[in-house]
Amino acid sequence: MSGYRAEGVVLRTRPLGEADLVVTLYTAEEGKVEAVARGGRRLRSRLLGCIQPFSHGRYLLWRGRTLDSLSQGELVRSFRELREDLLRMACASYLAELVDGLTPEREPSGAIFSLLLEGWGFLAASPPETNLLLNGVSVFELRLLNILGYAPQLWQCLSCKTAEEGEWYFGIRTGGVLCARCASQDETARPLSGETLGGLRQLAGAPLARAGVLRLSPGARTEMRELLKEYIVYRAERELKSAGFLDLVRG
Amino acid sequence: MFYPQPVVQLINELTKLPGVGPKTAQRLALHLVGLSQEEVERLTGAILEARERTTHCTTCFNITDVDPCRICRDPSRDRSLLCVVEEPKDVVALERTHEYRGLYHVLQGAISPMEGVGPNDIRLKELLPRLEGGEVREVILATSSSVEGEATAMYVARLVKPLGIKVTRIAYGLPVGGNLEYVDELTLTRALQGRREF
Ligand SMILES: [Zn+2]
Ligand SMILES: [Zn+2]
Repeated sequence: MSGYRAEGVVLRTRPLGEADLVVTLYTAEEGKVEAVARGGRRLRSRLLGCIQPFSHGRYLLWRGRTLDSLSQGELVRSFRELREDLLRMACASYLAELVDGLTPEREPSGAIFSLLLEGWGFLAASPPETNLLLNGVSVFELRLLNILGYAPQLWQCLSCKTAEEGEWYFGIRTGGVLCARCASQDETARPLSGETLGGLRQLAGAPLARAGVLRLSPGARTEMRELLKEYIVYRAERELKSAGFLDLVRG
Repeated sequence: MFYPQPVVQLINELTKLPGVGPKTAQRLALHLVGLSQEEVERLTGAILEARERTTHCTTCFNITDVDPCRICRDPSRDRSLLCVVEEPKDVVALERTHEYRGLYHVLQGAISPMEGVGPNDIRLKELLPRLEGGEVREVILATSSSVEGEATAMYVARLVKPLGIKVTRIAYGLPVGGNLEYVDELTLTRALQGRREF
């Protein structure tokens, strides 16, 4: 067995046996790692404070045959703001699930690690207002997709390259916009309103600090959420459980 | 394994119990097969009877042998206080304090955004009818301090507050006899936020 140090954030935890906890970390050095915190559910555990979901910490881990184990930790930031508001928590859980769902184990990406810290930092520092936080979530989704090489094409038809304004569709399988003439080439293509497309273009590549500028109508908001969710589920090849809760609390 | 097949089967069943690993299961199984016929019948009888005579209170959803449960039907309990907890074992923990004299509502779980457990998957919709009629003056949120417990508490508060009922959350504090240096930062931050005038 060999020990190693890693700086990371806690994406999720699940109970193991009576007193242990399996912690899914996203670390700067190792990427996504699952590790057992022995006694991590005991109230007296010294690890308790740094293995809560959303924690950012420095950890000492040991390589194991199936799962690594986490023996020590030091908290850098608790991100407690994310636990203290329902909308913030719903958004933060969704960002964590996106990273968990879209990244394979042990493939480190400094860009993803910083993006997650930036995303949670944005949620923690912003007033818990629906339009602002959900724009932030969409900026995060688009940037994560971009890092992973799945950035959707938003400016010209994926098939015939036309950029002429008109009726647009979004192809989930092809990964971007299609004009009305080409839409039939992708059976997953769905109509895309001008407002939603404009919103996506504005948020793609925008810094989180500018997320508040865009104002979306409730209809376009729902369309954007559904579309990005469907596209990500298609890419991740798994359901996003926290999306349902996010839809519920965003009202 | 080198045990006879019936013993292996017993070990397999015991391993399904919470907190029982393979080693404990083997020890328990060997102990059980060494018992007299009478002792075994007493044990299986107790399990069957507990299972048969235990149900959920249709008012508070705690486990009980009578419905409504003994707490719900106790005339000396304060009906203006309703304490919301996740599990029956939380009721036991609170009853042990002898400090609380109100009623309970057992959610039988907690909302978990990441696991896809939503408000409809726990006994939450059964809470609202209990708040009609104006008897309940305060709802005490005593869910755990995990992310799931916090999500549940915030969600319940969001439902109950518009009804004009006082909603409180149990405080976060230091363990009795605990030394500050061993307390995690999050607990200490919250203990500081929840400080009271001396
Ligand atoms: Zn085209
Ligand atoms: Zn009852």
